[in-house]
Order: sequence, then C-alpha cells, then structure tokens
Amino acid sequence: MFQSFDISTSGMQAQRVRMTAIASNLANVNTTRNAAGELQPYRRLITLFEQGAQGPDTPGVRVSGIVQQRGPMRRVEAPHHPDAGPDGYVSFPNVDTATEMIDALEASRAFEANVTAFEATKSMLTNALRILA
Amino acid sequence: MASWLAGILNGGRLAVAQQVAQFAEARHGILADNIANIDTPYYKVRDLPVAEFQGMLGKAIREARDAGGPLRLESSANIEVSRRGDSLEFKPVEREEANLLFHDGNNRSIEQEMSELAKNALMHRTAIEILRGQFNALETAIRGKL
Repeated sequence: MFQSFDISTSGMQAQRVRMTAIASNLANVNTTRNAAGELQPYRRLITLFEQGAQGPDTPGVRVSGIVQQRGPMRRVEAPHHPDAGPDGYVSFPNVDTATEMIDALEASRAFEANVTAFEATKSMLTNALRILA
Repeated sequence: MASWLAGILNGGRLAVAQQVAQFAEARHGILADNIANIDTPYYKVRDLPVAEFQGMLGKAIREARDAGGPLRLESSANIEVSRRGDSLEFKPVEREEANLLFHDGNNRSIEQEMSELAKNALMHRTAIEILRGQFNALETAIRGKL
C-alpha cells in the first residue's frame, strides 16, 4: 500500500521535470545565441519517460533523459537583425509556442491525475487505520 | 488459536472482507502505476484480474457455506494463494479490452484509469466498513452491553 505513494510521486516528479523543460522552451522561444554568446539558436528540449521508477521491472515512471530536438530551425526574414545571415534570414529556435502550451496543459493534467491517485491512496489507508480506532 | 475464535476470525464476512481489501490494495498500486506511466512510450496498461478474483472468492464462499468450515481460497491462473491460505499474490495482466493504441505505443485512457481508481477505492472502502462493522459487533458481544 505504501508503495502506491511512491508510484504516484514518481509520476508527479516526471511531469514536473517535463514542465521545467516546457518552461525552458517557452522562455527561449526567441533565443539565437548560446550561453557563451556565440551564434547558435536554442534547440527545443524533449523529456523522455521510461517505465520503472527504480529501473526496469519496478513500478512507477522516471525521466530517462532530456534531449534536444533535431530538425530545421525556424527561418525568419529579418535583414536588420544583428544575428541575420548573409541571406537576410535569422535562425530562430525550433520551438512552436502552440505545441508547448498544449504539452504544458497535458503535463499539468497528468500531474493532477497523479495527485488524485495519491489522495485516493491516502484515504484508503486512513480508512484502513480507522479499523483500529 | 481456540477453535471458536478461529471460527469467528477465519469464517464468514471477516475473512471475505479481508481478502477483498487485500485485493483492492494490490490493484490500487497497479492503477497508480498506469497513471504514473500515462506519458511513457510503449507502456501497456495493466490491471489485476478482477473477474478471476471474484469468481475464486465466490467459489470459496459457496464451499465454505456448504461445508460449514473456514474460507479456503484456491490458487488460479493469475492469483497465488500462500500455503497458509491467508495472503494472496496477484500477477498483473495486460488489460483485455485494449484501448486505442497511440503512435508512441501506449494504449492509455486517462478516463478509464481514473474511473477504475474511483471504483476500486470504493470497493476497498466497502470492505473496510464491513470489517469495522464486524469488529464493532465482536466488541459489543465481548462487553455484553451496547
């Protein structure tokens, strides 16, 4: 019974990590340079989930990695932008705001589902404890 | 244990409610796992065999009633009864009526999981309330007054 708490916690944790990646994507939607100040557009971060909170064949879920999404950058024509190439185009991150918002919504709903499961575990345990009283 | 006490504790509603509570607790863990893995690629929704458990319990209740002895459960395909007959081990199975399979290989259905979770919690509650009632009745009998 107590293991159910850990399972729901692993679910909440995973969704929270995913939410952090989404927040990072949204914050960097227009970032054209990396931390060192070099011209390198931000790449969208994807959170990977894996079954098993403590490795395979254990219950729960864990984040197996946060990876950068491959694929072309968003090319915008802006010749006066300081980071524009010789062709007058600027490479913006491959982040789509609508996709991120939908992902954020999904992550928050999935988080809520785990909270509900947690609450159910709690009330089941409380009920069982009331037998003693 | 004195035989009259064993009769009270191992037969009748007490034993049945205990088994149901045990099953509901185990199933709750599986359902929580399904919810935690709602976004995991290639995860297949699992469940405990509810019908199998109820069939097994029903058979044991009928047999105990006919023979007048304690409740004796028999192991079946996915449920193993310990040698002393007091604890059960369940093997999770992939849910039969498989949902829509998504592109990431997960056959999730959050609605179904949440409704199963609520139903299961209620089943657990029912078993616990019956247990409480039985213990209260026993207590009343021991005290000899209401």
